Amino acid sequence: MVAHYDLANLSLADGVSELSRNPDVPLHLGFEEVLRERFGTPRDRSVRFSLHLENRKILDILDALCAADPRYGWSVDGSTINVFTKARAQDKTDLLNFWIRQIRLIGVPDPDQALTPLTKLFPQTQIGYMELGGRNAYSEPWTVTFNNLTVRQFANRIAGHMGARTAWIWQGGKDGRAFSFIRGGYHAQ
Amino acid sequence: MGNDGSVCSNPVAARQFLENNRIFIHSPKRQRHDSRPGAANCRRVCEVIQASRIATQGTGRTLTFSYSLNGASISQTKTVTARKFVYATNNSPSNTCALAYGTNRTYVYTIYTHPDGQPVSPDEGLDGTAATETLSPALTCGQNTGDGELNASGQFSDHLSSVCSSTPLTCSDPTTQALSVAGFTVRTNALVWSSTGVAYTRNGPTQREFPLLCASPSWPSFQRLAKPRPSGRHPRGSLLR
Repeated sequence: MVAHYDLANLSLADGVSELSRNPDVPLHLGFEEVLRERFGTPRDRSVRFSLHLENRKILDILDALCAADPRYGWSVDGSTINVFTKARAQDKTDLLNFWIRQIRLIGVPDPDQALTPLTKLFPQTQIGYMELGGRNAYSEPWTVTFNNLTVRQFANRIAGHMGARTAWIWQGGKDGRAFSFIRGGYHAQ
Repeated sequence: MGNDGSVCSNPVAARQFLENNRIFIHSPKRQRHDSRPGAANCRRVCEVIQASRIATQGTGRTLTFSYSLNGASISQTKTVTARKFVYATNNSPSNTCALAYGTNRTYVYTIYTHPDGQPVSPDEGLDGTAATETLSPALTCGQNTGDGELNASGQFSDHLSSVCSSTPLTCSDPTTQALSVAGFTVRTNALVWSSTGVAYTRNGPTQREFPLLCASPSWPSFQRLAKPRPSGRHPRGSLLR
């Protein structure tokens, strides 16, 4: 339950980052931005709104956010809440919807390096990461095998393993996209 | 100009200092029991402690602090040696980008001062001093930049990175980075974002540009600079993509 949740003329990306920083509600979040024309162009903030909510569940807040910017939807995968753009949710050519039959991580120190085996599964697809915030290393090198899941679910797993409150962001443009894995909350920029 | 931190940070010291100088000031706790004229709390005392005059001779600086309260005033002088942040050396960090293209390096800079030619050392209490960067021309590929500060070892770090990617990057962005400590430029670097990552070239200044000054016999013996008061905390410096 969130006692107070206020947004004043901000975007959904700002609203999700606000949730990520709430220390009273430890969340695992995965957020997929609307892709820009180019990586370097400013983040899309064309849809702005204000919300003032009190004593609401996280799910109620997510409903309010997605109602205010209907380009986005949300879903739950295990302990992770995914906020995604509806336009790409079912797009089979989108990396996040690619199907992984099996992927094995051997002693990976952080989620960034967990992407290396992913690039070997999909060598024709651009996969990248960008550091955002502080250290995101695991407490110890991680060896694990995942079977039959999407890349989106894989991102949920490798981010969630960082700790009790984590987030990953998928952002960029047509010229390149990148994950950022964050321990704790983050600020949308 | 500045505050006398040794007085301002310690109400007991403030009271003792001012009593020694025959202005009767007491801490807030004792003020309730003190009806003498001139009693005031330490916060107000610190507001009036400023260096009111600075005399310069060589690298020496004589600071005159004037204190006044309720019509009473007193001055005290303090002599320090001026030092200037002039250049920086850096480590050679490895690229931790785990994919085929991109850069992810954290440079750690050690700062040297003039005229002594020595590095800032951990015991000088300069942690928190602002370390800033400017980039010219401005970056165009959506990189994030930020200022930082000296750490407890008297060093600062700069995280220099691009996206780490399985395919070549599309950003092309040359710029010159100027790094400054407390407003003194200590290093310029040429940075070029390209399809493979970020190329980094040191453009100085370096120690070679200061040997005569540092060895000059005309400089008086070295004294530590009075601890500056950082104006605030800054986020750790970073460059993303």
